[in-house]
Amino acid sequence: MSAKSRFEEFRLSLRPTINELKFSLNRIRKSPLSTIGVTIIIFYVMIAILAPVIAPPINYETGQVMTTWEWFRIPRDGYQHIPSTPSPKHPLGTTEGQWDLYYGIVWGTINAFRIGLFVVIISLAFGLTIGLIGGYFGGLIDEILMRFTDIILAFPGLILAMAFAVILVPIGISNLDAVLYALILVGWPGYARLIRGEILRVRSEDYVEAARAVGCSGWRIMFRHILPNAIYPVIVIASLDIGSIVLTAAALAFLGIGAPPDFADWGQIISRSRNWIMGIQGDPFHYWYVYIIPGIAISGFVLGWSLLGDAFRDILDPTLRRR
Amino acid sequence: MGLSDYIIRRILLVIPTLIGVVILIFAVVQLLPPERRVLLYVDDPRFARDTALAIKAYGLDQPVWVQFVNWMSDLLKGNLGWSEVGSAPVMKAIIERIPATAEIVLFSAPIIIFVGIKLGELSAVHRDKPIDHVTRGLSIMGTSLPSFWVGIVLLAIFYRALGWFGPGRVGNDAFMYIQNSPDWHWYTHLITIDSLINGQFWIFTDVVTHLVMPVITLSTINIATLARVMRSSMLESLSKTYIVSARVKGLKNAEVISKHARRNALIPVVTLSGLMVAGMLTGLTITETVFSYPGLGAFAASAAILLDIPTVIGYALFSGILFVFSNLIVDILYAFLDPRIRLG
Amino acid sequence: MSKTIVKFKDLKLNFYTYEGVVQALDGVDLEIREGETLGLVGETGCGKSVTGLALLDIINPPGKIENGHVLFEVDGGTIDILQQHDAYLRKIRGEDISMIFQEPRAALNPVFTVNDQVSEVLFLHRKEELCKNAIQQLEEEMRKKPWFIKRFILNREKGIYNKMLKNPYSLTVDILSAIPLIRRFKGRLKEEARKEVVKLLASLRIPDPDRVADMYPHELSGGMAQRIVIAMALACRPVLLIADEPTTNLDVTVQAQILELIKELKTNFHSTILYITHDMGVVAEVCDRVAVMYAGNIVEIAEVFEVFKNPLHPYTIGLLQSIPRPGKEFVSIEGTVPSLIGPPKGCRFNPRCRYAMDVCTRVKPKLVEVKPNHFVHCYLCQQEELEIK
Repeated sequence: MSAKSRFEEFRLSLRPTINELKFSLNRIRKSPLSTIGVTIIIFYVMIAILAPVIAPPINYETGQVMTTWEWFRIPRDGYQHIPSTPSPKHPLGTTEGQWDLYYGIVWGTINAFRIGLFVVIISLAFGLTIGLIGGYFGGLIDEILMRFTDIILAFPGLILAMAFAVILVPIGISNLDAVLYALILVGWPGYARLIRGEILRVRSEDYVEAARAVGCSGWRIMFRHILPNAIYPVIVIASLDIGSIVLTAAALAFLGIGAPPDFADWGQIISRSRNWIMGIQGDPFHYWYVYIIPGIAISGFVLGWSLLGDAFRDILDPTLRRR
Repeated sequence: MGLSDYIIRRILLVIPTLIGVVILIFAVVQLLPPERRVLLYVDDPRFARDTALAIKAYGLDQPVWVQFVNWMSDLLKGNLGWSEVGSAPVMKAIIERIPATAEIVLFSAPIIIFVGIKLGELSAVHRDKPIDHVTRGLSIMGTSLPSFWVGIVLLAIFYRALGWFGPGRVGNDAFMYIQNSPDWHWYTHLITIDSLINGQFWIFTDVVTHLVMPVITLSTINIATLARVMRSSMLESLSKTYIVSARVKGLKNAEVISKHARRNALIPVVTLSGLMVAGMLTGLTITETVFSYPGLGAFAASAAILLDIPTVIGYALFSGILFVFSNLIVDILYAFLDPRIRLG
Repeated sequence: MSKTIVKFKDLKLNFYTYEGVVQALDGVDLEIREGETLGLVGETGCGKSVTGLALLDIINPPGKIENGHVLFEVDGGTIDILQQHDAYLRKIRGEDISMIFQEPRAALNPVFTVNDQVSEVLFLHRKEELCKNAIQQLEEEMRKKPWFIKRFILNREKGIYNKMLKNPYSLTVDILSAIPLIRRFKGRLKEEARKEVVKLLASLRIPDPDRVADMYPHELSGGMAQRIVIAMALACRPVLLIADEPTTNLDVTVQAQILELIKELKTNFHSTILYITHDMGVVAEVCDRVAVMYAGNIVEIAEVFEVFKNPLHPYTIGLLQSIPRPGKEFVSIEGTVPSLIGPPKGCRFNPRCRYAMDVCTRVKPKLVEVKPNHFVHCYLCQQEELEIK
C-alpha cells in the first residue's frame, strides 16, 4: 500500500470523529448558556495570561519590578487603614491598608486558576486511581477502598477541611497551602466513588462482554472500552468543581484560614472587606468597591465553570446529545 | 427482602463507618506534637496551662494504642476535651449552641424543599420555555455566588442602608430581657417558640427579623442546587415509556406529572438531600459567621481561627456522626419510596 | 363488508431535529374495519409506531403533525381526532382506544403495584360502575341490621357515593377525600376496583391473580408484565386496541402464549386490533389484513393470504423473498432505507426498485385498488392493471 493511500485511509477513519466534534461545537454555539460559559472562561484566561502586562508588578516605593516570587504580593501604597476610593492611580481603589485592588483582582485570577486546577487535578489523579483499582479488581480490595472513602465522605467537606488545615498550620505549612492540601484530602473520595460507580455500571454493558468474547485482555478492556464511557460524569463534575473549589477556598479564607492580606487572593480580599460594609455617615455604600468588585470577580469565575460543566453534561453524554 | 430487613441491614452497616470516623479523627490528631494534643484530653482548666503536668496526667507519652483506648473511653463518657474559645468542656459548649443553629435550619429546610422541588418541576415540565431559562439561570447564579458574599451584600443593603434586619440572634433589649428577667422560662430553647409560649410577642418579631437574612442566605444556594437536580431527574422521568402509558390511559396531563412522573423523579432527589444536609452544615458555618449569629457554626469557625484544636476536632466528630445518621435516614426513606431497592 | 371505524387520510408528520426535518409520514392513507386485526408491517424507522401514536394524538415535540385527518367512529358519528380538545380525547384514550407497548416492564411505573396501575384505568373511566357496586355492597351490609353508629356511618357513605354517581367531578367529594379520617370511605371503592382487577387478571390466564395484584413491576417476568399491560389496555373493553410490537422483546415461547391470548381476544370479544410489527411470521399468525409500510408511506394493503400469495408491490415482493428458508439462497433487497431528511423524489422506493420507471422518480404514486380489496401504491402495478383492463 502506498503512503498516500494509507494517509487517505487515516483521514477517512477520522471523519466520524471530526463530524462529532463539529456537532459538539455546534451544540455549544446553539445553546446560549454554554456560549456564555465558554466566553467567560476565555475572558478570565486572557486576563490571567496578560496579567504581567495589564497589571505590572511594580513596587510603589522603589519603583522596581518585583521578582517572580513576589508577583502575587499586592503592592502597597501607604499604610492608611481606610480603603481609598478608585482613582487613576488605583483604578479599582484599594483595600484597607492600601493594597491596590486592581492588582489584587488581576493577579487573583491566576491564583484562582491555580487553586482550582491544582486541587481538582490532584484530587482527580488520586481519586481516579483508587476508583479504578476498586472497580477493576472488585471483591475485598474494592470493599476496603470503598469503606475508606465512605469514612472520609462521612464528614461535611468544609468542616473536615477546616480541621485538617487547622492541624497543618501549627506544624509549619503556610496557610494557603494548608487549605489546598485540605481540599485535596476532602475532594478525592468523591471522584473515587464516582468513577467506581460508573465502572461498575459500564462493566455490565453488552459491549464489554463482546470485547471479552473477542479476546481483549483485562487492561485493554478497561482503558479502551470501559474508561471512555465511564469518564463523562467525571469530566462534568470536575469542571463544575474547579469553580466550587475556588468558592470553598474563599470560604475558608473568610473563616480565617487562608492567605495573608498582601496576597493576591480573591477570598482573602472579600473576607477582609467585611469591615467596610457599614460605609460612612450618610453614605452606606461608600466603600462598595471593596466588597462588590472582588465578589463579582469570583462569582463570574465560578459562573463560567458552572456553565461550562453544564454544557459538557448536555454535550458529552452520548445518550443525551441528540435529544 | 422487605422494608424492615433492609432497615436492619442498613443500621448494622453504620457501625463500622462510625468506628472508621472515630479512627480517622484520632489518626489526624496524632499528627500533632503532644504539647498540642494535650488540650483534647483536658477537661479541667488547671491542666490547660501546665502542659508537662497534663502530658503526664493524661498519658500522652504512652504508646499510641494506649492513648487510643484512653481517648475512646473518654469519648464514650462524653469528654471531648477543653475548649479555649468556649471556656467550657467541648461537649457542653457544643450542646449549648445547638438550639440557635437548629432554629435557622428549622426555618430554612421547608422553604428549601418546597421551593426547590417546585421550581425544578416547573422547569422540567415547561422545558425551554421562559420559566425554564429563568430558573436555570437563577439556579446557576445561585450556585456561583459565594454565600458569605451574599451575606455581606445583604447586610450592606438591609442592615446598613435600610435598617430592617440586623446581625445576631436577637436585639439588645430582647437579649437583656431573656438574660435577666425572672419571667422568662426556657422550654424548647428555640427563641421563636419559647417567646410565643412566654407570651412575649415582641421578642418573637425580634428574633424573626434576625432570622430573615441568614435564612435567605442559606436557602438561596440550596434551592439552586435542589432545583437543578429535580429538573434533570424530572426530565429523565418524563422521557420514560410509562409516562406514555399513563397518557394513553386517559390521565390528565397534570395528574400524569404529579402522580407518575414526580414520584419517580423524587427518588434520586431524596438521596441528594442527604448530601444537602452536609452542605447546610457547611453553609451554616459561613452564614453564622457573616451575621455574627451565636450558633454552632460560628463557634466552630472562631475555634478554627484561633487554632483551638479540641473544639474543631469535637465539632468535626459531631458533624461526622450527624451526617452518618442523616444518610441512614435518607437511605431508609429511599427504600420506602423505591420498591426496587428493597431487593438489595 | 364491515364498517370502517378508523380512517387515516393523507397524514403528514415531521420531526424537527438538528440535522434537518425528518419527513416521517408522507401522506398515510389507511382504513381499519370493525372486528378485524390489521397488521402494520415495515422495517424499523418506517413510521409504523408513530402512526399508532398519531391515532391517539400523543405525538410529542420535536414531532409535529403537519396535515391530514384521523377519522374515528363514535356513537354520534365521525370525528377527526386531530381536531379535538385534549379533554375530549382523554375520554377516548383508555376507554375507546387503547395501546400496548414493546417493552412491557418499561410501560409500567416501577413505584406502583399492579393493582394500583390497572385500577387507575377503572377509576378514570368506570367510576360509575364502581360506585354502583359500592352502593350495592353498602345496602347488603345494611340489610344485616347493624347497630346504630354503624348504620349512621353506612348511610353517610351511601350519601357520598350517590353524590359521586351524580357528579363524578363533584367538589364536595374532592374535599372529603382530602380529610384524613373521612377519606377512608374511598376504601370501599378501592376494594371494588381491586375485585375487578383480579377478575381481569384471571381472565388473562395470570396465575394466582390475587398475589400478583400486589406485586411491583420489577418482580414480574416479561411475559407476565405484558399480560398486565394488556389487562390495563382492555380493562374498559375498548373498541380498538393498538399493539405496538408487543412480542418483540419476549422469548419465542412467551411470544407464542401472548399471540394465543390475542387470538382469543379476537374470538371472544371481537376486538379490533391494529397490530404493528416487523415480523411477517406474526402477521401470518394473527392478522386478517395487512398494510405494508415503507419510508413513511403505505405501499400495499390486502388480506393476509392475498399478500403472501400475490404480492404486488416490489418492496413487498422483496420482503417476502428475503425470509430465509432452508435450502434456498439468501436474497435481500438491494440498497438501504433512505434518510427521511431528504427523501427520494416521487416514490420513495424508486432508488432500490428494479422496475423503476421515469415517472416513479418524479411524481408520487397514489394508493389505488388494483384488485378487489387489494390496494397498491405503485405505478407498475397500476400500469399492469390498466393493461389487463
